[in-house]
This record gives sequence, C-alpha cells and structure tokens, in this order.
Amino acid sequence: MMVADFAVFLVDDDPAVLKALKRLVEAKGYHAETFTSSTEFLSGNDPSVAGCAVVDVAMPGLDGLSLQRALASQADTRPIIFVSAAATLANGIEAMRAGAVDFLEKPVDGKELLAAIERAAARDRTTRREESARKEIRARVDRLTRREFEVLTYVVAGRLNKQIAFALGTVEKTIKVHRSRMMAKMGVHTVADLVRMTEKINLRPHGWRFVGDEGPTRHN
Amino acid sequence: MLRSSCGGSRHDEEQRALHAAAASVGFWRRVGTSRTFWVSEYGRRLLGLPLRGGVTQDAILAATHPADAQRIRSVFAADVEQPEGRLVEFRVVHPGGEQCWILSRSCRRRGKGADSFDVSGILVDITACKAEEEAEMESLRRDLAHLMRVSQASELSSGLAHELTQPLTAILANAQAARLMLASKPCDRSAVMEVVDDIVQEAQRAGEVIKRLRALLKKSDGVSEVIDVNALCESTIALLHAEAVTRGITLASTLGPTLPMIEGDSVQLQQVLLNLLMNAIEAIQSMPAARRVVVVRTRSLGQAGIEISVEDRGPGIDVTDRARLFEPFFTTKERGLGVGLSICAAIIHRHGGALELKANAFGGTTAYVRLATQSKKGAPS
Repeated sequence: MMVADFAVFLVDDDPAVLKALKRLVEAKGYHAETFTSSTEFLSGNDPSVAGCAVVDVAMPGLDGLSLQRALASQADTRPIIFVSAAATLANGIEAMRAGAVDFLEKPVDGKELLAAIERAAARDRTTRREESARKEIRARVDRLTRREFEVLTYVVAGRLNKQIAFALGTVEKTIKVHRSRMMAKMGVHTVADLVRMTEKINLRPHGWRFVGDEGPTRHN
Repeated sequence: MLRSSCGGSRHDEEQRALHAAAASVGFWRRVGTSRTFWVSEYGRRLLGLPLRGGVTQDAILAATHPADAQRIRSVFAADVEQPEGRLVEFRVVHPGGEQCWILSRSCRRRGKGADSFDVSGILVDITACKAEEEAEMESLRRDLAHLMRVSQASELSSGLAHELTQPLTAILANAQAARLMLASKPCDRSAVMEVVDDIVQEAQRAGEVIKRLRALLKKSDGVSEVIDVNALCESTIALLHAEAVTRGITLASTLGPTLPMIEGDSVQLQQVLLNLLMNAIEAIQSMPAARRVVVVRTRSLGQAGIEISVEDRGPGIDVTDRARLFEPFFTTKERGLGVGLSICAAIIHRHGGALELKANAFGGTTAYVRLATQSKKGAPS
C-alpha cells in the first residue's frame, strides 16, 4: 500500500522514539519526516503539502499544545494527532477541542496510530478539497461587477426580480440581464445551487444583518 | 544515699568508695575552690587516670574528650559559684584511645567555716546506654530519610513513568515496524536486523530507568563506598529529566573534569542532591521562562575535597527565613514538611562535610555541598 502523496510529520524530543515511529509509518508506505522540536517543525512547515503532524505533548521549549495554537493562528488546518506519555484529562480536552484528530497515550499502539493517520489523511483530503472549492467560488464572485454582486445578494435572500428592481431603483428588465450574467459567471442554473455555493463561503444574503454590519459585503 | 555520701572522714570515704565500686559507681570529692580532687579508684578507672597520686582539674580536663572540655571547664567554675547540684554527661578518652561516656551527678555542701564548702559526686559509665541511644537515633534518622526518599519517589513517579514510556514507545513501534517489514516482499533482512538492535538498546534504556528508581527506593545500609560524584550527579539529573520537561525547566550541568572519588553512602548523597534539585525546581516554578534554569556544578577543591553546587534563578530566600532554613519542620512551602534541608544537613554532616545556602548573582539561591575526598571517619553512620 503506497500513500506517498501524504506526509506524516513526526515531532518528538526523543530521537529513539522518532526513529521508531518513522520506521512504522514508512513501513505502512507513508512519507515521514522527523523534527526534534516544535520550532524546528514550524520553521520547515509548508501548509500546501498534504500531510498530518504526529506531535508529542510534553517537549522542552514549545510544547505540543502550543504548536497546535501556533498552526491555528496561521490558519493552517493541518490535522494533528497527539501522543503523550503523561496525558492529563485537561490536556486531552484542550487538544480535542482545538480540533485534534486523536489524542493517543504512549506507548502508542501502531495500529491505533496508523488508523488515526488514515483518519487524518481523509480529513486533510476533505479540507483541501473544500478549500479549493471555496477558492473557486470566491474567484467567481470576484469576477462579478458591483451591480451583479448586489443582485446576487438579493437573489440568495429569495427576492423576486421586481422587488430587486424596486430596491435598486431600476426596471425589472435590467435586473433580468444582470441576473442572467451573474448566474452564468457563477456557473449555476438554479437559485438553489447558487444558495448552496454562497453558503460555502459564508456570503450573507441581502437583509441579513448582524450588529455592526454595513450592508452586503463581499467575502474575500 | 547521695547526700549521706557527702563529707565524712577519710575512713568513711574509703568505705563508701568500696561500696560504690562494687555498684560500678566512681566517687569524687573536692574541698572548696581547691584545684585538686579526691577520686576513688573505680572513679579513676572510669576517667582513665593513674590509680595513685593527686588528681588535678587540668588532669581531668586533659582526659576529657576535646569536644566536651569547654563544657566541663564551665561546670568546674559553676561548682564554685552556684550552690545547686548538677548532672553532667561527658566523654573521656582513655590512654588507649577508647572513648567512654560518663555521667557525673554532684552536690555541694556547706562546710564548717563561713565560706567553706565542698562538692562531691558520683561517676557512672553510661557508654552502653549512649551507644544504644545513638543506635536508636541512627535507625530513626535512617527511617526518616528513607521515608523522605519514598515520598520523593512518589513525587517523581509521573516523571519516571514518562521516562519509562519513551523507550517502551520506541520498542513497540520498532517491533510493529519490524513485523510489517518482515511481511513485505522482498524482505530487507539487514533493515530488520537494525530494528531489532534498536529494540535491544531501548529495552536496556528502560532497564536503566528501573535501576535508578530501585537505587532511590533502596534502604540505605549506611555502608561506605567509593563514589564517583559526577556519575551520581548525572544519574540524579536523569531521574529528574521528565519532571523538568513537563515543568518547562532547563536542567543544565557543568561537571568538573578531574574530580577525585569520595567515600560515602551513595543512596544518602543522592537523596541530598535530589532534595536540593527539587528545592531549586520548586523555587523557579513560577518564574519567567528565562529564569527557569537550574545548573548543577562539580569541582575539585584540591586538598579540601570536592564541591557540588546547585544554582537556581528563583526569587531567593527571605532574610528572616535564612536563619531557620535547617530547623526541622520549618518550611515556606504550602505543602512542605520542613524536614528536607535538616535531613540533608544531617547527612552531609555525618559525611564530615558542609552544606551551605547562599544568595547568587541571579537573585536566586545556590546550595553548596562540600565533601572531603577521604573521609577521616570509617563508615559514615
């Protein structure tokens, strides 16, 4: 079984543990890289490379949970699997709340670790697929004119053409033109598809206001 | 009986001395401020003095153990100035070098003249009692020290579990990797061999952890042995490694290159080191990261022996607390018992060394342990 397109980044201050874990994941066909500290890992981390991190909780310097926070602050969604020799419930809860794939106790069973890595790989694939889909949607929204974008926010709010025309101080015919161009640029045929698409990038329909909002905004 | 034995004619004295000797009691008398004493024959034997001839105050002082001489001198002076009887325990060294514990019980009587008085008393050999007492104290001390080691070990247990877990993690992952490697075709035999070698090495590492723990929990038998202080420091630091990592503390060491061996009880000395290190770690616990450093140093003091120092960058010791540091049950810790440093001081003292705590340039405290390279005493008990 080869899964070389998915990397496993191992972070542990104990070289013997690193060496053994590297062997194990490599024997399963993953590409493995080892780091003896959180800072070493963070400085070499390329978020665009698909992979997960297997991180020891207690390390000198930056510990595992701090590493998780550092990745989160960089909006890096790389899945993390924690392994800990001195697991506390509080540590485990904090790690899982912050989105860890799993929190395994050392000595960690190879099967469990490999299963967690598989889950991490699945999650990483989904996140990357979703992220690239979002990117595409945002790119399409960016191609809209200001008027087309305004029409879009009214359409996803369920407004009829004449209501939109009234709100924008123009005639229904003009709105129809904007609307069909907008639908074409967004690559959809139905309003339902458009709604699903805009939801993915958290675009707010017109009239959905929250405290502090300044009307419809583009999400970039 | 004591009172009646005071005073009386020479004949009476000799009679009483005879009875006293039969009861293993020495008898003595001193008239007024005279510097000579009358001492019964058995009394002379107890003090290790010649059986014939006069006994002077200086002769008694010369027979007294040097450590007790000053006390006995003041007792002689007090006998002249204060009327009450007294009870004194002191050591004498016999001409053969044998040491003997003596109990003297005395009383003072007014003489016939206005200012005249005499002091008389009995001497009893209490060496056996003292030895028993000392042995009992020693066994209590040893039990207390052992209890402290056990409590230290339990404090360290989570760290030690971590120390054991690391090699076990490596062993398990290596074994499971080897299994996968053996199942794959073609199988790389030399790669598998390498994995197996690592498994052996990690198993030995786990064994070392267990050995260190055993050494810590061992009941000291008080046997003196030759100790490599640097090795002792290294194994103690290893014991605390996980503890330091989980607390975010750096444990550094600068060990002197040409350190002479010393003689002592390694279990007890390790206990002292462990205690000083734990104190240092606790002192820097709530310090900013840059100050969470403990440095252990060893160096040779030439003829004077060796020195081990444990330096922390904690808040230092309050001036008012400093005087009470070695007092039993004195503590500044919320959950401390206050026995650590007093036990450490006692252990180092019994090794003929000295333990000292000083403020350092980092605002923290440095503990210095000085030990002679060749202990003059036999086994430190």
